[in-house]
Amino acid sequence: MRSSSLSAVFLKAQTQKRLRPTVLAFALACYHGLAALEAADAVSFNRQVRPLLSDRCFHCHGPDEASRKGKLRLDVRADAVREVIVPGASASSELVARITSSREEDRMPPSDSGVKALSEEEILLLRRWVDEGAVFERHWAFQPIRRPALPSVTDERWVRNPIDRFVLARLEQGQRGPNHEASPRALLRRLSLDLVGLPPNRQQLAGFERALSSDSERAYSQQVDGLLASKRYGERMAMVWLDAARYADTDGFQADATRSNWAWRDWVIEAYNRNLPFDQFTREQFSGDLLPDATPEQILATCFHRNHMANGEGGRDPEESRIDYVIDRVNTMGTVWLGLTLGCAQCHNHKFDPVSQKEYYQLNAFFNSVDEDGRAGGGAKPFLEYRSPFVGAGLQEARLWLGAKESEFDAATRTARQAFEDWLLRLPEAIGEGYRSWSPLSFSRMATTSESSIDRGDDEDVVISGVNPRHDDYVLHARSPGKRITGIRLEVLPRESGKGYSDSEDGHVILTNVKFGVQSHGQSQFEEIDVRGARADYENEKKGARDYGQFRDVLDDDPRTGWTTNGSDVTQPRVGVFEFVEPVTLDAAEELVVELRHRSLKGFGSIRRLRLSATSEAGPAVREVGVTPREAWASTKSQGLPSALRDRLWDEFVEDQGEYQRSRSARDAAVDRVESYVKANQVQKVMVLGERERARETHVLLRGVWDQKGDSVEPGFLSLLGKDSGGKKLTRRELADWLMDPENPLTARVTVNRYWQMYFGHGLVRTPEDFGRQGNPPTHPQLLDWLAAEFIESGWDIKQLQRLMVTSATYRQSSDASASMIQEDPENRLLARATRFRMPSWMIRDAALSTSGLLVHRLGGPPVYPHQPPGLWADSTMGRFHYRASVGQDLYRRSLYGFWRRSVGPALMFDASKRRVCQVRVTRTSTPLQALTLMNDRTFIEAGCHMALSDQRGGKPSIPSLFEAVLSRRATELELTELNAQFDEALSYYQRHPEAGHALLSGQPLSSRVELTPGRAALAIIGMTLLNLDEAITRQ
Amino acid sequence: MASNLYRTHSIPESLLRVTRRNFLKSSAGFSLGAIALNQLLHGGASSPGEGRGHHFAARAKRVIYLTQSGGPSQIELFDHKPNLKKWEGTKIPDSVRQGQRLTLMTAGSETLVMAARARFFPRGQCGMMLGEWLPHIGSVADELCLIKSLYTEQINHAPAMTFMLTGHQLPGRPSMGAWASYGLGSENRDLPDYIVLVSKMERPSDQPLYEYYWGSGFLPSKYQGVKLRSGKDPVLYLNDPPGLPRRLRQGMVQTLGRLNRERLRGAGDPEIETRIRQYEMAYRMQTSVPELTDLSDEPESTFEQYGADSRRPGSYAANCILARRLAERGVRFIQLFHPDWDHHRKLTAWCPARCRDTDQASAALIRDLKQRGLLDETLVIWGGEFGRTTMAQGDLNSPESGRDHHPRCFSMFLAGGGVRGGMSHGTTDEFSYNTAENPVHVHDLQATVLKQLGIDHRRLTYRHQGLDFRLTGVEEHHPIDSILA
Repeated sequence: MRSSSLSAVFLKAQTQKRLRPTVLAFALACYHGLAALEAADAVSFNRQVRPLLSDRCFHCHGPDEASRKGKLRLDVRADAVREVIVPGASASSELVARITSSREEDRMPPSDSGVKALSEEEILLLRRWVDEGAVFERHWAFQPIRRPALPSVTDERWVRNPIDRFVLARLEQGQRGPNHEASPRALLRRLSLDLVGLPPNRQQLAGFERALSSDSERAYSQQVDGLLASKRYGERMAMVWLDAARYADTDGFQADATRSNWAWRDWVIEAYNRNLPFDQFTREQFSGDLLPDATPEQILATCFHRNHMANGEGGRDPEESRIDYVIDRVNTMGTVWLGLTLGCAQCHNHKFDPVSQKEYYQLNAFFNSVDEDGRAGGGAKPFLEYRSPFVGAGLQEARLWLGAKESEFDAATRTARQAFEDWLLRLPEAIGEGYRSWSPLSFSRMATTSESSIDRGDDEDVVISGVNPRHDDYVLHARSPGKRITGIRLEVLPRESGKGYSDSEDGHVILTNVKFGVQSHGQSQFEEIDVRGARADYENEKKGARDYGQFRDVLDDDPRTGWTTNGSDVTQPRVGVFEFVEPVTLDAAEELVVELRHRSLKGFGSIRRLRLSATSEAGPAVREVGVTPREAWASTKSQGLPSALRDRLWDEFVEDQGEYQRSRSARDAAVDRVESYVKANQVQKVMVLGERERARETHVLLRGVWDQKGDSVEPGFLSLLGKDSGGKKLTRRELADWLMDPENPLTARVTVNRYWQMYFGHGLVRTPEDFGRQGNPPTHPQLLDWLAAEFIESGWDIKQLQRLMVTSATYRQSSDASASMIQEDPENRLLARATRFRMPSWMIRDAALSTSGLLVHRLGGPPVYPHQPPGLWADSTMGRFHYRASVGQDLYRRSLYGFWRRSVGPALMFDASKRRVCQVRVTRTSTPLQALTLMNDRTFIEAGCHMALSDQRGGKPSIPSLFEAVLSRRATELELTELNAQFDEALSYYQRHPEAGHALLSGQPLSSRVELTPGRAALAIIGMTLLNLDEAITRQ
Repeated sequence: MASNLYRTHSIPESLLRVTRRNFLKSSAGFSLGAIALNQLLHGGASSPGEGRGHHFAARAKRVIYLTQSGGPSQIELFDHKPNLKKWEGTKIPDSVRQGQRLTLMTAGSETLVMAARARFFPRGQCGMMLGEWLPHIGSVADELCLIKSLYTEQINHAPAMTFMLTGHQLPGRPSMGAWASYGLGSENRDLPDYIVLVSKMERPSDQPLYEYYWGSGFLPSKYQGVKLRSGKDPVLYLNDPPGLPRRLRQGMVQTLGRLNRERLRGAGDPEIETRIRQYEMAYRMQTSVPELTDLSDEPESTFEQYGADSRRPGSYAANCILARRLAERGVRFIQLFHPDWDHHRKLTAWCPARCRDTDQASAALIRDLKQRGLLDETLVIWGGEFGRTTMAQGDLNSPESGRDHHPRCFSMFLAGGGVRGGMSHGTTDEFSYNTAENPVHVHDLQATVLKQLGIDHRRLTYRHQGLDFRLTGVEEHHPIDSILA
């Protein structure tokens, strides 16, 4: 407020006489805060003027000819000076006249353009720039990288490596100093999270503290080297690269078919672990298939450019999809290597950066002759047939797990067998002569949705009469308190008139949907009962997916499918049975609701006479039509028990044997897992690059539309980066060479910046995806260039670059900040402290698994399925996909290995890239839904419980060690007091409700081996609380 | 606006924290900072953030968007063309077709004109002509503003729906509801700003409803739509695990708050304050959401009004009741999705079936809002992503026939929210093939929706990858002022 009114005063003054620069500087300083440091210098075109021109003017007066207004361009000095700028004389410059004009129709930018108006300070700046000679500079990021001289600093002692000189020089310029160094424990936690994505354990912490006290510099650098050499390092780096590469395990879009490209993910991990230099890393991913004597792994690397989405939607032209993929590759390359928003040039010349539409399609030409045809799923050639070396360990564990599950199942079977014999002995008493498994339901309320009548018949049946509408639904309410119901039987009965089951022309029925529910007294809605299956004594083969015939189709909510009696003998009753997923027992205030819908597309065919019955018997009775096992035995009891009937009775019996059922499904899941590992251990089809025999002609696409072809173009580079083809025929190999050319000013800067972002929270350029004129300028331009030069000269050595960053004094600062530090530099642009930021969601999960001791370290292999709320996939894809969580150790692998379905991303990966398109910028938001996730996701609950169950003492004395495990530091008195109080509250609850503690702790990996005491339950509450602390999920 | 609970986007946290402290110190709170903060925390309309918010007086406080996915046929439902019968079975003149692209389903085969398979009747005082398959919607004709001249740029489902909801055909942009939430914030501190309800079915829908349809794109994820699921866990992770009672959860959230606050003293990071508030809101949502979705306090008459289907949780009809409850609670953007309006085949049977699923409840919602005095401040939108062709797909004399996708004209209706009722806007040619008078581009419709919420669509922007993005794209588009009351 104050500063802008000051500026207004100065602006006014300036119209009378020119202000002295120092006064101007003061005005700017008031407004810009940090910018004050440089305000005394001349106006910087790159830092101050170009962003302004770019933002407010270039849209109409920039590089794009098509949208240029008044034939004026301001991005080229010659043009600007010829037309509207008199260098050194703002008062006679048309540019200044137009931005300050009081006539609305003359003033630039026009008020109706949607472009933000220039503020007074901005006008002042432009005026000053003109007065200082209207100097143009080449955009900073397009200038060659020259290693800058190291600045001198006053406080030499603070400097540990050259990074610190640049940072400190800038700080000292503003009479500031760096923050104190973080504590050893905080440092080790930070290093571990940054380099391997996992917190340190207690032994590592103690060891590091000890080592630091003897020879701190050596201890520190050994620690860094150790972490860089860890296998976990590659996993941590890969997670970030997967976001940039938009890697997923499915195509996306409609069919969302599964891919088997995970071997590429493992290639990335390995590439990082063996420190493949970034230039080679790039060359292999762009052109591994074109390298002489390419190894399978080099071809595998090119999967990078096949990780885009693939659209298999019916009715879509595959060629349109193919063009989309080519475009996606170019845009991804633009973001990841060049930091350019190349995609802007798809439809027209780039409006801000010197990239023409023609050049954009020249880049497209490199990827336009891949031997693909735009198809998705199994048609997404070219493929590499590749066998992964990372499956064996998983397969071995899956087999061991299966062995264990088989013996558990065998034991449960033996127990059940014994119980079965007892049951068989008692059963005859229950089933006398003429025993009936099914009891007809009697209805308290019946209604139809048409004008037809619905009434009770004489034979416990229901009769519908009167009008015969096209569509009719019946809703029937039955009371049956206290009785268990495992399923329902529907009988469609012929009528005495002999007219068949319905009043349709042929007397047949088309039943489209059946719903079951439970409605409580006083409630208007009913709760649906889940039905496992349905079958009838008469069913037809369907002619297509959408036809009538199958009885189970009445469960699918689709009037285009359903059951018809068509073709059967209408003088005989027809019978169908439904099996409930879980038996239902109604109380006195509840009613069973049965809804029968006749909504077929053909119309008519409503059942006119029916009977509905219920049974309490599980298994065969509700799964098979006809005589139930008990009815069979009742009628043949005198002749003993034939073995076939004995088997059917066993099938009924085991339905209610919980342990048998549990161990059987665990065994089945273990079998499936072994099978999937065996499959993964075979040759996989991995999507890779490969050229077709005849190159496709590439065209400029008019307005970017796939089938609007303009001029044809050859592969070519961007002129803004210099270097032309030299008339040579160019392939993806030359493209990679061009990207990695030491003279290319962008690749090194952009890459260095992305690594900086990992270790300092933000890039030196805070728009890591855009180094163009619309991007942010670097906070430390010289440091960026120094690092880029260093990176190139080191032979693109990634680990060396990272080592440099994390051993700097800048990195080792504490993140604790005083109110005034935050006030002065809320975003920490000056780096006068370490940045504190919430960890990415995958790291939060991995850390929780690691500190609780659940984490399984196994590198690579097919994707795994961590815990996720049940029904999530089915819900989000309307039943198209069903999620089954992994079993065994796969539940506790690192998040990196989690299956990524593009249409429904992993539930707990909040703020993660959507993996639809390339993403390099980090998103960090804070929402209540994230809080709910960390409070209630099963993995975090298990982690909290596992800490309590695996702890030696399992009670209050363990709180300090849990605290240390989660936060890597010792608790303060105050913190312990809080946690102890929380523990006491929980303990007193679980002492009064031991069953609640049992419920909380059961079903965990260790819960069968440890006594589930109230103390452990209370400790689990502490574990969960700790895992949810801000500090536990923050890198600081 | 729930800025106390969400990380405030426009104001640096440090400033907010300082003002918050001032505010807490002087609870009388008459300093400028305190007033501004008070508006941020509690005010709705009066607290636009920088570059956002109410650019002009809002006519609607919220939107209920009844999304009919698949492309409902304008020819049977809304766009009455009595003369089409005389063209039945003929080829549509090339002068009308103008080389329109077809999907691969009908491209290359000869297609013939098929007149409407439903009869039309005048409905309401206004005498609006509507197809017979939507009798209940006809009964609220006097509330409807029927737009017949919409057109889009896309002919396949996912791109067209993406275009309709995000203003661009490729995934990655924020949905309209996310923009509204970003621009205006919420009026309810216990519920998210943008809530999505999808009709529950026991089978895959013909077209998937992608999560990104209600995504926040490049906007911060706090603006994304939150899907309420039917059943016991309406919001993911809402329920505490078995054996963890409510009282203990409350204790945990309080302990977290105290420990986090202690850390805040050392670290000084204002994000910690935000985190404390998010946990408190999460805890409140554990109560407020079940209260919202539990319909046992609704009288029997509600279910009679919305139809038998409303008794089944998760049905479109039950979701319409929830939409009204959300509106009552001040949720900013409420979006329902009902799939399978894609009637390439068996149009005469399949389309009425979809109508039947949605007709009564859609009409009941409009009437219910009106009775409760909420319709004036709630903009209801009903429609799909494109229309359907005049020409039959398949043999036009067979009940098997249907219609292909058609982008050049289609119909939607609006109700309430400051839009005039009982009127139609725009016309199409004789064939319902091209727009004739007052064509309305999808971006025009989006601009209209934003305008009713008090937002200038040209000024609600977000900077991403160096560009200022907006819902309505770069070309010039305008709200449809003539339909506004």
